[in-house]
Amino acid sequence: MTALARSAERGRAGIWVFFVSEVFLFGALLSMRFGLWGNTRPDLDQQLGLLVTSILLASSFFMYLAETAIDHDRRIIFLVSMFLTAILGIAFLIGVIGFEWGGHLQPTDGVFGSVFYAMTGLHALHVASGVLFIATIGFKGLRGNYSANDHFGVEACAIYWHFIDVVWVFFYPAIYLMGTAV
Amino acid sequence: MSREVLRGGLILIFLAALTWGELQASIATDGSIPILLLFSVFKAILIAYFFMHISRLWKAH
Amino acid sequence: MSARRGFIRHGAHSWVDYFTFNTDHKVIGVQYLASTFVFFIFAGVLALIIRYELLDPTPTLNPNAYNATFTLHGSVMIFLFVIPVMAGFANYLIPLMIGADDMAFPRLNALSFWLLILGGLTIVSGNFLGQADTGWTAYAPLSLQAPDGQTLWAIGAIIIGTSSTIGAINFLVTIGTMRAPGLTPGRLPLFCWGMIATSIMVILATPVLTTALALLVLERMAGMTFFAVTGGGDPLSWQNLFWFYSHPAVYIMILPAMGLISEILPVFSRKPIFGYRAIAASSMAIALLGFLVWAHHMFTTGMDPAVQAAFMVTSMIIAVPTGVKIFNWIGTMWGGVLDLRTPMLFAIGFIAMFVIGGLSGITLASVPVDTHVHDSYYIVGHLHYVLFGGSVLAVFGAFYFWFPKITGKMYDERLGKLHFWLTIVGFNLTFFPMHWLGLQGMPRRVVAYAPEFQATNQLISLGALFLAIGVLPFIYNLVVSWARGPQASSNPWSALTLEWQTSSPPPIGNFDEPPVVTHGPYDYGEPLMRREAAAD
Repeated sequence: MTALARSAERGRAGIWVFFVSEVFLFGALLSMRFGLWGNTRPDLDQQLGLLVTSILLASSFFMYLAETAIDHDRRIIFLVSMFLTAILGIAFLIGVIGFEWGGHLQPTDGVFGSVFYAMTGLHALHVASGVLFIATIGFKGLRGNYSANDHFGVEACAIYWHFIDVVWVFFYPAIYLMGTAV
Repeated sequence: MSREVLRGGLILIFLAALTWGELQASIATDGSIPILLLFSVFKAILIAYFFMHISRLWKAH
Repeated sequence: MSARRGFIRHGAHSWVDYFTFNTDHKVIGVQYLASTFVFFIFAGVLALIIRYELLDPTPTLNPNAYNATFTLHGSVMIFLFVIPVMAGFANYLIPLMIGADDMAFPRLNALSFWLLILGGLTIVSGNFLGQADTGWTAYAPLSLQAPDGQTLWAIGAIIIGTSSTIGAINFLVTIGTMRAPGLTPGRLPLFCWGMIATSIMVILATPVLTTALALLVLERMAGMTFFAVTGGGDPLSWQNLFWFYSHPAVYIMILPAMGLISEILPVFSRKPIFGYRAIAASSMAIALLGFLVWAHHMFTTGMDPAVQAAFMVTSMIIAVPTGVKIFNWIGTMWGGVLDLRTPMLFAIGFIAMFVIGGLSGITLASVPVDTHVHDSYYIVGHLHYVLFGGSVLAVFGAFYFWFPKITGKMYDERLGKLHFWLTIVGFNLTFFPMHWLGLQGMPRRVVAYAPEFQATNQLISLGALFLAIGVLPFIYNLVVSWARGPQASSNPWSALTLEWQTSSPPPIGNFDEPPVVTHGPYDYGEPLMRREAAAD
């Protein structure tokens, strides 16, 4: 194995193991949701919820497109897709923090407010860091750092972004859909 | 490349469809947790397949 | 300085290098070992304060200060000594044992260490800004109302947890991907197996504690509600999240120690380890089962008896893989030629003390027994037998065993034996009577107790003094031997694992030529002789 391949193998193993730890971080919060809300949930803006979820899913498509593109040395598609992913990520943040937060539900509104802000807050932190990750990788991509044979940074960024999407895929029903609205 | 993009795209479309289905089920059953958990199981299977797909994609190089 | 493989400042050329952000795993290992030892002494002094208070059944010190003292004692011992000292040994030994030049992620490795220091300073600083006084377990709702130091305690613990998790990722990826040619999983030293199991537990459990701590901080500072009953919170959910981590945490503290023992015993018995595969498998079994027992810390919270029974059963089952190790260690020594130098004395001491601690543990798995002795000195006795009699004795033994490798000097054997005997006598004098105290009804974490317990408490405090005195020859030995001790050879113990096949201390990059492994790590006695005869 070449040194490059070995380094990528290690990085790959590292990021997947890191994933597992993140599963338990978000999982602990999810278990708090079920413990404290049971079969109830706060009354939230369903249209907004569906909108931000669609935005995030779409962003994952562009992230996937970006990684596939650099894997085939298609640099323009890679760069444009990275940019679109970041834009959609920022749009998601605006949707959650700009519109969903600061509504009738406050963090101090008992367990409904607290769990809602804790879950969306932790997730938003990860989305924000994901956008920073994309920006960093995007700029390195602009400088020509990546190719079909050597783009572990893009791979890592993509896995991280897909993971964040997956968390939301399970958080969204837990927050917006499950249980009776109160 | 277009085949890979198509495959990944299809998975994401399925995921979106399941999410839409979840929303409808939530409205129809007033948020019945067992039924919505069933959707989560299907989503988990789809996501597992997606992750396996992208790791194969990367391992190929 | 090399940009190769993520090295920044790399390797130690003088003592100054040990105070830098250095990416060499051997430097980081020593940084961990030295720092955690300092925390051990600090927490030990806190213990002496506790024992001083308990000489008299009435309060001597300010009761709030006393509460803060045992809180800090527990927190520092667990988060800043026992857990990270194992990471220190893992950092130093793993690359050497697998024939690698360093860890998989050297810069992350250095970050791990400095996060430990930052987290440690944060926790300790909390003591001066309104103390955390709720025990290391910080139960809600008391911890919601505790002074400001509690918030710093929580933030410090989050930082330390992050350090721990990064380290665990490093250990797993390193062992998984950087083994020398010929080093199959079946030839991996058992300390490495112990660290695999430990790292898996760290990765799964620590994030849950991080969540609990973060929610505690949010509730204390942002007016949110998770654990307080007013507002709809659930105090029990703190306990569930906390113990979901903290029970595996005790296995995180013991599995590496057991791995260290498995390294020492074959060398000093001149025999192969008995049941290598069973010992490796039992580590993995304990890692799995360790996640299924946490509610045995909550038997007295009003749980459904059916749930109590389930956790009682799982808590008893976990004794089985533990017992497998004990029998295999005895089997290793049986018929061997025992070399009773200091590392071996501590290893044998470990087995004896850990069996006692394990036995009290099994009694505690029984719901009726635990209902009687929960939160009493019986628990304090149990936990110290497994953590001190177990983990700490193993750590001492490991310090002596690898001292020549790390420093290139040999320690003084007589001082080592003195340390051992003072420790074993002082330890039992201190902690054995606690079982009786607990059964008789003395609660833990109290500044005042019933007068009829005074004589026993004074005996315990005397034992603690012995223990403390016993540490002095250890410190003296470490310092003076490192400075002026006799040169040690590359392999003073005639051991077979890879770290002994390079110089003492090892060069930067560990091996002059990358090793190729052709046999198992414990082929002592007959297998070694047969191999050497065949080679002639």
